[in-house]
Amino acid sequence: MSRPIECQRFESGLPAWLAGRLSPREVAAMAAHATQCRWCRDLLEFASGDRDLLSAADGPDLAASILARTTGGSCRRAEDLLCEEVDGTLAGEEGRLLSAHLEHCGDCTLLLEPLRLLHRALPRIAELPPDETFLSDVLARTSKRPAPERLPVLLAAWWRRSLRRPRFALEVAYSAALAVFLVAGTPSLPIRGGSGGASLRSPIESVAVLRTAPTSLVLQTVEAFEEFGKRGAAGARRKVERVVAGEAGRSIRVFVKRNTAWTRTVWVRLRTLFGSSKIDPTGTEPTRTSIRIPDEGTGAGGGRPPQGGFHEQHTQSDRRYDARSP
Amino acid sequence: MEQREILARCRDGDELAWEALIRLFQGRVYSVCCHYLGNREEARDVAQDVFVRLYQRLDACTNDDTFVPWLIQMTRNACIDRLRRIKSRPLAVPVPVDEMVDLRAPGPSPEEESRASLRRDLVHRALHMLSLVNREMIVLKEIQGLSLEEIARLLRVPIGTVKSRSNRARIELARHIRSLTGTAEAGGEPR
Repeated sequence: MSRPIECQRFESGLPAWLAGRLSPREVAAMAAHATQCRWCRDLLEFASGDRDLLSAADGPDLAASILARTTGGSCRRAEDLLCEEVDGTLAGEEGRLLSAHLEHCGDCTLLLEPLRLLHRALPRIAELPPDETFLSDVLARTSKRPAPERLPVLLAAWWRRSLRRPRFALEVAYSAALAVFLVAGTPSLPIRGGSGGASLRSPIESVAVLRTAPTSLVLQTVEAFEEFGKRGAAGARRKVERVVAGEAGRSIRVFVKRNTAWTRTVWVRLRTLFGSSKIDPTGTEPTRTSIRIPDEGTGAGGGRPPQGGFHEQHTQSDRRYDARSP
Repeated sequence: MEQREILARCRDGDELAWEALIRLFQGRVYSVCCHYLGNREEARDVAQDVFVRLYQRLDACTNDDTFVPWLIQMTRNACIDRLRRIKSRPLAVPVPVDEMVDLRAPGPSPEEESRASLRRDLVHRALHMLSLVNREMIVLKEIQGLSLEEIARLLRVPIGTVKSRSNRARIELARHIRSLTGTAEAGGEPR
């Protein structure tokens, strides 16, 4: 702690004063300071031998005044040690320091007994018995474990909570704008590829596989279908849910998601690979179709795509494609 | 039966185990509620809610070793919620802290019970002279006996902060005890 400059001058000039080496003017200045500053006056008395440094009467005052001008008191630290002393976790050296402090500090000494009392009393109130009806009341309220909350209930609760949030409307507007931007700005999305306003709400169409083709061709068709799914655009690939290749004489199932534009794309691919295929618009909304694979040899033409034997119905988009085909 | 076994049976839907679990922890939960809220009726109400919530979310506590801190945390959160609600809706009938004096705890003999009753009276009065932060530290560490680490996790503060807050709270509580008993009687409290 820094001391006033006058005190520092006093301390540095004190040995010279006591040795009689100061001029009368300097002595008068130091004496005047000593009359005003208790610290320097004490220092002068100790230095000149007028006061016993270890006298019982002056010791505590001196210690207190020194602490007041240096660390500012040690009771805070002693209080921490008091808690450890009561807990029985105080180490030896710190215990001695605390004891020395308690010999001179009445406030801290008076805290020791209440702390010991609390140390004994507090753990005993960890449990307080409620009244007799408490248990029966709880049991009545928990007679049956409720079923886990269902998703709609959770969503409704989330929505109610969200409505109470301060910036919810702003967040919704931001999210909606972002969604519109993403949808409108992504060319691979089916919603942008469809003609005549084709959208995700288009009726579901099922892809029929060659009815009279030999098994090998059917399997190739299925493989090609899957391969298309792997190599195609991300949007199209996601549409392929499952394609199961079957054996001759059994059924295969082709699962197709709803989307006219995408289905037309698949159709084009199949047609490119094998020269013929078919879309079977049933008018209902099937999400899957089962196609029976004929036995090998009963189909037309040894691996060549047959010219007939397909479903005869066409969707609007198929007709357009057929019109462009040679 | 061990706590772990009781918990496992409760998760399986054993009603008797659930009753045993309530009996095992109702005192602690009610005690925490009392010390947070300082009102028996509110404490009883919140303690019931805590057990109902515990019943619904028993599966959420996957580690049986941390069940007690988890339960105390749930109780503490419920009490804080109730305190907030009380702040916005003042009690119809304010209940003085004196009523906490009537709280009973098991005592081995009438004489011991009498001394313990005096001590509890004194401690409860002093406890409710503390700020909520300091009272919370006393409740969690000194009364419920949670470790520094558990309290730090529960309150999401560093361990050093928990330790210093706890010491400060104890000193403040000791000062209130001293002021309640009078400086001259500080050493003569019933033990």
